[in-house]
Amino acid sequence: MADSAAEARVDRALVARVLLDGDRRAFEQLMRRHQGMVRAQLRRLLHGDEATADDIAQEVFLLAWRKLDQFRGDAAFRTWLYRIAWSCFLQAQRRKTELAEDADVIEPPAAPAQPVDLQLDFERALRRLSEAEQAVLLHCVQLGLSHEEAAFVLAMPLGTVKTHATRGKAKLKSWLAAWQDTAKENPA
Amino acid sequence: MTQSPEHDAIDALLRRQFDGAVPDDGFSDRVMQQLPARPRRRAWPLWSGIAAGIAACALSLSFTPLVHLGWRDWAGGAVSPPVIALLLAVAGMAALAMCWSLAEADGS
Repeated sequence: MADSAAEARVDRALVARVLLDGDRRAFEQLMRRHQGMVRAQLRRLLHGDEATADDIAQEVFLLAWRKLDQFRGDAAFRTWLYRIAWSCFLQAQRRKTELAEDADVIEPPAAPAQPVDLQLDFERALRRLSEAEQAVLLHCVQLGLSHEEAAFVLAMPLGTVKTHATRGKAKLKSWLAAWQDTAKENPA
Repeated sequence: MTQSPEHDAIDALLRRQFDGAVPDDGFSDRVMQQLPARPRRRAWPLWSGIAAGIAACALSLSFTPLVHLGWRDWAGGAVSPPVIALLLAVAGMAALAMCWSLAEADGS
């Protein structure tokens, strides 16, 4: 808790240096402090597509540089960056969908409505969740944000975030339990 | 807030499955090379607004007898109602300025 407060103070001081003096080195420090987690967030959202994730991450930091005066310090700086990354990700997804529609490409169904099969591992179980549930679990559990912070990043009502988190975990639990039971019945 | 052990186990699986922060590997350098010059914030709209506000305030006060009376009584050493009104107005403005400064200092 004290560490995160100290981290937030350092971030605010660096932001102030950028805003007051246009200090590029202060911005570079901010970027070096946060690029790792922003890129990790985007890689998860893009299911491991590292090249696209890094392109979007670059866009995120260029946007952050341009719009830094809009950071008021109400949220933590990393949360503010996650929010920019989330909206850049959504824009990229929209562009991709439009391109796919133009090319008349039909996306394969994301998940079969069949019961969980033996090969289903945790990663596949995770991908069977809805996009919103995946995003909420990524931000709340894997990135370590509070429900309130995740609601800010994802621009969702707090209640919706909590519902997606609970529902997502319940689904994972039931799928993995089914898999475990079947694995016990049919040991390899 | 406490969670069920099953949800704790799911949380643990999710965390284990997350690779964590990505190493920089020249990413920051590449972005820094593309960073455009930062546009300078123009100060003149703020100062013009302040000057216009002060001018409007002075103009409206110059037509009220309260300020003249207050100033005259204050110079004469009398504590009259106009003097008290004047002092309250000055104290109110000082309090507002202090609150604004504190809010700005807190936000920076």
